[in-house]
Amino acid sequence: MKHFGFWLSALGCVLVCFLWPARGTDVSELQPAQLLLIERRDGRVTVACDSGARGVGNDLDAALGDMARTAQGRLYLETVDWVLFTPGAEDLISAAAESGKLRPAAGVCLVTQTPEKLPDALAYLNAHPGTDTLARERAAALGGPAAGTPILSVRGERMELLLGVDG
Amino acid sequence: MTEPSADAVRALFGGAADLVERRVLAGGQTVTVFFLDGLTSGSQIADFVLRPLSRSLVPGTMEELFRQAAGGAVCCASMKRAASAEAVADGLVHGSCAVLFPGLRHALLFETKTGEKRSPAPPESENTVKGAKDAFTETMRTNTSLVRRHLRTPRLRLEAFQVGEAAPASVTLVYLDGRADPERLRRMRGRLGTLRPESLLSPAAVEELVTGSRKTAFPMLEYTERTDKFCQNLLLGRLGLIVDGLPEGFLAPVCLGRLMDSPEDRAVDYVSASCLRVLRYLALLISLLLPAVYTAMALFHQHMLPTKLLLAIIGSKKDVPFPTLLEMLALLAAFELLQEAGLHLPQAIGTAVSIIGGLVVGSAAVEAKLVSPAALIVAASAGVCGFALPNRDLSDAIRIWRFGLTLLGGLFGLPGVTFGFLALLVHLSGLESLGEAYLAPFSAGTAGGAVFRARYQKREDRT
Repeated sequence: MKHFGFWLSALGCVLVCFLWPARGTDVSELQPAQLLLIERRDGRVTVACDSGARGVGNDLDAALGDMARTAQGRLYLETVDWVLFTPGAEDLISAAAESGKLRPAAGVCLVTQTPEKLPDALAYLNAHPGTDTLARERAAALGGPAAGTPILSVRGERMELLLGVDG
Repeated sequence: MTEPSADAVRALFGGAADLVERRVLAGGQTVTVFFLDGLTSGSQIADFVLRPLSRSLVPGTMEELFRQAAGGAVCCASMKRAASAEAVADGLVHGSCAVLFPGLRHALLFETKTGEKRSPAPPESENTVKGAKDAFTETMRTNTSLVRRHLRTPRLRLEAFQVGEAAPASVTLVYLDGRADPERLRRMRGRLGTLRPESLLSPAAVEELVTGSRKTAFPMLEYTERTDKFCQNLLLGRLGLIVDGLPEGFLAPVCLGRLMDSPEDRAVDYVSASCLRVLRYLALLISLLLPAVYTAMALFHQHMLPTKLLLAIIGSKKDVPFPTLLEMLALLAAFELLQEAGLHLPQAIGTAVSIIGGLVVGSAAVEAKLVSPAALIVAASAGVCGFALPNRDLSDAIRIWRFGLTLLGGLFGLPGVTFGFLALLVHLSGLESLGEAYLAPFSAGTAGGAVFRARYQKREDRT
């Protein structure tokens, strides 16, 4: 009985360790995405990221959910630096800004056509940062100043940023 | 108590090889002289004990010879009377030469200590660029003389205690009269007077016995090998302990603010000292928290890391087969093992082991993708920051808590780290050293002079 309190506390600690609701995800299991391409095809929303994961859904949230489910490993969207919208998907900018699944600081860009290689587009955009972000788009939707969304012109492997470029 | 006879002394030492017995004809009677070879000086015994005994004593009864020898015929600087064989044995182990007069109930002890002792050398573990270079040695009287040379004042008090039953050790309580708190003095005297250990051969024994059976890894008695630091603290009213055989001085009471104080602070200007202190406190926090925060962030709170840093960590962890928590604990353990191995080896080999273990094995483990560079950098940074702490005992305690906090961070994330840190604060707030709060001066609400060093002109003590 002398050490009853100690053993009870030890048992409590073990139980807390096993029943603790939060389960961490090791950083090595994460599949970080840095660039997200959002398209509209046949009335459905298609998303793809530079790590190779793809998803389809009736709306943006469903497509993102599908991509998270089908990705190899745990898709991590908190690292997305760029969100690209193809022609016909511009109306999804506000949905992306309000989804809460993407970083507000992520840059927004329209593309004239789907880039052949997303990592190349990421490298180009990282070298030529634009000014528009999801946070600015959201502010514009709430009545703030309109954000000048840059346009990335894609012709084969050649890319050029046309509007809203820094400097 | 046994009468001081030659047989009784011989029996006490049980035929020890270094016990030398000499029968000398003194004033027509035969007296017995005992001394321990190696502890005593042969020439001093010959010149100042044996020669006067055989040549200066006027023939008479044993009682008369004793009186002549005790009265100055034997011209030794220090002389004591011993009323028992045990007292004779005690004198012998302290470097005296004993003269036994058969049939008498008293013997005479003449101090003939050998001059062989280590000279004060520069401190090894508390090196500074500026400041005094004399460190304590294993010899009590050398140490007390060093203190006297730094504090040339008659108010310096030295009180001697004998502590230990199997192998009694001389302990000297050192303080400055008028500066030391009388209540603390009373408590310290009480503790030293009631100690009944077998011996006081190790610093940990001194610390545990003097401070009580502590249940904490944090030091409750500060040690220093620097005499200047010891004396500065005496001027601040702290109590000092010097134990014969240990090349350190111990200081009480202890608090966190003082443990973070380095002798270097008083050797440089107050601006530099303040900057160094800020760095030191930063090192304390990094050493304690960095592995735990890294583990918690890598497992639970990736979104709190800057994107580029997170991507770099993810990239470095990609092919590592071990989970972050296990990886971090293993790295911390490996760091401790390296440190321990380096300590127990001769300096030249220790350096080689550190280089091979730290650089070669570390870089090979990263190349083999057994550990991630990020985790290695975190563990190494925490370890190096631990070395920036001026007190090794404090650094050791931090190392132990670092493991616990890392485990909590790996299991529960930042809430776990916060809980562990609060538990540490609660633990430290409950500690007390001779009546002083362990978290002082932070516990007083005004932590003036704790982090920044005040200018000498503004210091009350000006030490």
